[in-house]
Amino acid sequence: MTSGSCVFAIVDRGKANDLLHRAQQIGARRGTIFLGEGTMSSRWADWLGISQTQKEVLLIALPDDAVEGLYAMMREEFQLHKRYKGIAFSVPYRAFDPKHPTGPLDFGRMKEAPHVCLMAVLKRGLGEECMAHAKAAGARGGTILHAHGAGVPQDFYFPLVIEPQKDIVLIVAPRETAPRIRDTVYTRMRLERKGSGILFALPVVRTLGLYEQRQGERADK
Amino acid sequence: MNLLRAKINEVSRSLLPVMALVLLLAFTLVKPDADMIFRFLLGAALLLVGLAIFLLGVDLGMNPIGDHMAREVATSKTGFKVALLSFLLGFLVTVAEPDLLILGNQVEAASGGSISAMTMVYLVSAGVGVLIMLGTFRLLRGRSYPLFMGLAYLGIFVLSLFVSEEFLAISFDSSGATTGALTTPFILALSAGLSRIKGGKTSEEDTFGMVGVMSAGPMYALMLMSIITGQKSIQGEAAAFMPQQGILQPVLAFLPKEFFGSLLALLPLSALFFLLNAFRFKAPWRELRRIIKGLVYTLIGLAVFLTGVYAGFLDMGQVIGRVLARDHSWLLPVVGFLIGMIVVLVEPAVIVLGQQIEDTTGGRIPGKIIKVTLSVGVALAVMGSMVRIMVPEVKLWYFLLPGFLVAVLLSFRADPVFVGIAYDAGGVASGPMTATFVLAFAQGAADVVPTANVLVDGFGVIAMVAMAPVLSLMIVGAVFRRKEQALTRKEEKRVKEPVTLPAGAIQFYDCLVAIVSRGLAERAVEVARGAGAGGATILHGRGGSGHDIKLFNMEIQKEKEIIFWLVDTRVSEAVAGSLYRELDLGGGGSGAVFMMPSGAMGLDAPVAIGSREETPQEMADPAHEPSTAEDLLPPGAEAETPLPAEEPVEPD
Repeated sequence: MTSGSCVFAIVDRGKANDLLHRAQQIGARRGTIFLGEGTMSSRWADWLGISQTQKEVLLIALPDDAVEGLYAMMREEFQLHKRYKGIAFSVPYRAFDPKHPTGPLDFGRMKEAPHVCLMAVLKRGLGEECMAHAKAAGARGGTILHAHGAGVPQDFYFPLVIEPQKDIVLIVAPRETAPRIRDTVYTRMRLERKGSGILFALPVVRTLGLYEQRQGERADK
Repeated sequence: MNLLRAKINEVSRSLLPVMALVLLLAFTLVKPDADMIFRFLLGAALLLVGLAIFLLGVDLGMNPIGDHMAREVATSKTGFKVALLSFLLGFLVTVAEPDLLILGNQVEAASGGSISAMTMVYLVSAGVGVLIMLGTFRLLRGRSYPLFMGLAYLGIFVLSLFVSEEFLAISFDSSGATTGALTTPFILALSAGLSRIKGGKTSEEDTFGMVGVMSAGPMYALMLMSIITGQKSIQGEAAAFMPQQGILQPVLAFLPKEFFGSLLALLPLSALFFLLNAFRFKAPWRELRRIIKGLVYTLIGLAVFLTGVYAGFLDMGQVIGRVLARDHSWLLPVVGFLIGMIVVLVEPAVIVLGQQIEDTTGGRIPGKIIKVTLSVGVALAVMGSMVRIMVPEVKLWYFLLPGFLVAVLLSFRADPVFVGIAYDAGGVASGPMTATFVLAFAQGAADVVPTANVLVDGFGVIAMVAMAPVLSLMIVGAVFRRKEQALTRKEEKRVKEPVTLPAGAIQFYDCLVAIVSRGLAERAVEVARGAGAGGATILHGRGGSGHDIKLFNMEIQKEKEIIFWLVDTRVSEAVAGSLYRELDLGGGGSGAVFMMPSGAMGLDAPVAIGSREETPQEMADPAHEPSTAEDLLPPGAEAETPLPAEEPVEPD
């Protein structure tokens, strides 16, 4: 299990455990869960300050042949293809395992990646502003994770190592709209200034439950 | 709507059992008049809405304020400022607490005016201020928390030898009054902020415990006052029981009163925040607007919640206590057990604590475990109190002394996160619901039982509720620690295999991800930096690997830290290799390291092989300023590699 897909599933708080258990039954060795916050679009919920939704992000790395089963499971048992049930996407990855060295990633596959996962690492508190800009540029939604940077010793009364608090914004967008979102976020969040944050992208080879997908399905019917 | 709906769901899940129990009692044994039942139902509805709005307000308003304050305290350049600011926070958050003033008035009346109500309020607030200050120093200096609390309780024990039982009970009650619905969430947020800033290995366990520290303050203040002024006994009468009339009138009478009380309680802290914001924090308008909304929610929610509690629950508690004591006294301990078990879950601070636990431990310790343990503890406490009311020979300290003694001893052997939570739980459990409904129930019963003393036995309930969860959580923490150690020993037995690194270089950015056990992130960042990686971002999560610890049939997963680096692909192998070797990420469930391809913007510069001595500034490369936006996407753009060709491997 050195090369395969790293599947991100973003579901409502409390569901990630069940999902992980099922995933382990069908071949995933382990997964990691962290807490995040989703956003929803509703003007008056926004005005009231309650537009946030509590999410969990589950990260499972598994070989490519098991991916199919995982997606089928998420679709059938967790209904991720439906509205408000969550989303899932996978990014190709390569585990570092000296016992089974592998060659470089299959970049050919990445070129065709239909979606892109943009990740912005920003100062704590700026996540929502970033989301607002991303939405203006066409993003349908996103998830904010709370993280912190590595410590830097400071000159305070206490010998503290301040860990700068960060927000990570995670947005999955189709390849066509992603550049616009990326540029908007980059310029509006003034990321050219040193230390204001970084922005990077991961290729997404497979998705489930995205807004665009649902639109497509609706059209099919 | 989602967030509000989530809160309403959460509250109603805890409220429904309370309603079911009370209505069951009301229809079978107690049979109060219809008005009272309707008032109770109305009160429950107000409680539900009020508490949900309040919790929302805590999220939006209190938590950020606590965070800002914590930052201001921790980043002080002089010890004096740390002391002053932390004292001020403890003082201000307590001084306006309405419950404390009520208690002060009772003490003033009982002492015949020799202790004025305001003196007591200031004394107690100063006590809280001093302990918050000491607690802050303890936290930031990284001294042992169990030792700190052990000493604090030793001091209380010594002082308690010199005061009367009435005063002991009042002291505990004042500590319950200061850890009210408003102060507890704020202090929780403050200590969470402090520990986040301090960071490091102990940051998780440091998040908790400040409420426990704070609740010792009033006890010191009052006991010292009793010893210095020689005020030994409190003779006052508990107010005579006067059932309320009508259904809507009590609500209308309480609402404005509670509103102003809550407003008053919120004012000092908000004023300090806006003052400091003007000079120091300078929060962006977007955030400030959010905080103001949060404060408004807090105010409205708290007022509505307290109105519901006072109008609907106070009477009901009294009547249940009275009728049961009169007609079915053998049922008192049983009903006490049930009431304690479910009522504590509607305490606002308990819900806030549960959330904080999940957030801080990345969901590792489910809020549920804490709630179950807390429930059992409080249930036993209320049951014990009922026994004490029925059997006068049983004294308060029969429970308190051994309870706290065992808790303090266990605190040295329990899981450190649980220790903080356990001490907090004492203050958290004795909130407004206990102070009204449970207390009214006990006083109602004590009023009817001829040998019981309403004042002493009534206050004793709060002392018991403040003690029992500390003990119960400490026990669970100790059990958890044992299981954890057993598991670690098992894991250590696995054989470590030597590792050889393959060579290979790819011309790409890699998003390198390492998943390590909680507490190892710092080390991982160091190792990676040594191998040539740059800055890292650390996330906090939990992982399942099939080796989870089970407690009450609930899983406690292992806590993980997920570290992201963006590394030049030519270094990523080496970095991954170092991480793999140094942190032993190969074995079983202990961790992993992997890479995902990516392109990035806003980085200082990619870090190249062999250049780890150079600072990022030296390596800053114009080629990686915004103009390289194109190489971010699509990922197929690997032809123009993100690395400048002239960046060679240059050993010096």
